[in-house]
Amino acid sequence: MSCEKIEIAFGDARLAITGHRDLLDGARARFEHFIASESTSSTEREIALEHNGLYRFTDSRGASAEEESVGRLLRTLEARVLEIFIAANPQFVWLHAAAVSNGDRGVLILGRFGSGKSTLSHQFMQRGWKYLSDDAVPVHLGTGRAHPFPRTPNLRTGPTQMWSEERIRELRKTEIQLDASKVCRDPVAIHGIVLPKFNRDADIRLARIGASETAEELIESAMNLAVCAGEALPLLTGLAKRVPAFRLTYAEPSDAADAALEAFAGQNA
Amino acid sequence: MTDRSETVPPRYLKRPGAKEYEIDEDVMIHIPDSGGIVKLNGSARQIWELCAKPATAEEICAQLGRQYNAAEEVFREDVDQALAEFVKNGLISRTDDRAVL
Repeated sequence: MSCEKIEIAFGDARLAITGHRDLLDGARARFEHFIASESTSSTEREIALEHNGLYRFTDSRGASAEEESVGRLLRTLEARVLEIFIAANPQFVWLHAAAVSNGDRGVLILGRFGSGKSTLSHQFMQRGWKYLSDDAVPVHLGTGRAHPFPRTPNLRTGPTQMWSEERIRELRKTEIQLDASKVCRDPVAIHGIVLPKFNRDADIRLARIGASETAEELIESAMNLAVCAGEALPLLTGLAKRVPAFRLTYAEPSDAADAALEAFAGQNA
Repeated sequence: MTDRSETVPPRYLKRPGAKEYEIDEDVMIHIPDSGGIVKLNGSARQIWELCAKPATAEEICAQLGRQYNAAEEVFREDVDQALAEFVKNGLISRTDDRAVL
């Protein structure tokens, strides 16, 4: 079986992913917008995907994992690639968040697992906003701008969120085809923050939260604070003081996006 | 010979190197040594502020008593509890903790 290779890059990190075409197609789809433009003869780091009974992942630095399905293998790959990109790019504080933009105006969507970050970012995109990320947002420690990290977005199908985290993990995620024109290419200033929470029994509710609570949420969402707290904390507390943030409880994603946009429009009026 | 620690009450001082970020009525404190981040508000923040210079629990209670025009004993339990918690979280040092000061 022929082995193929793709190279993906973000900031100061570049790595190769190798494997049989079937497996590599999945990786290519997830990292379509990270494909390096020029192939190099030797990439410092390589991840090999194999199928030999089990689905195996091997990192050239020694990490490896075996999974029972392609889907799980690709999720493990995503997580590993994110770890590598975070470690190689300490000029950012990395937030567990989604982000969208309208021109130079960016909105962060913060939330824990299964809160609806991807769903809400998808709704914003349907209203003409551009996509930066649905799960990890690098915010530059010098400029405070959110940089695009456009992994192909995944939406869970089915009535999800009121269930346990374990149950949610079992639900299949559907990749959303991402037109290149919908992807934001440039860093954007953050002008607003929304914290969604799905509740199928609740009426839509949007509540402005204070700077202290916002700062706490931002700090909790930071994935690499251990290496950048000294620079990240003034940035995140400053951001929390400066931009409006809203908790958004919703049952219907479309209504949620409308409510959030209306709130931000009101703030900017 | 008298054990000094039994006769001299400990003094408490904000951990050297602690970074503070004021936000609304609260303060976020980052302890670079441990990587810990703690948010303090209300009376906990006041007690923390009173540790800007080495202070005993008695002195902190007295200061709060003056501030609120109340008997200092009123604050003793809360102050002792807060100081114990601050020490545990590495937010403050005790002057009898020679390894730190």
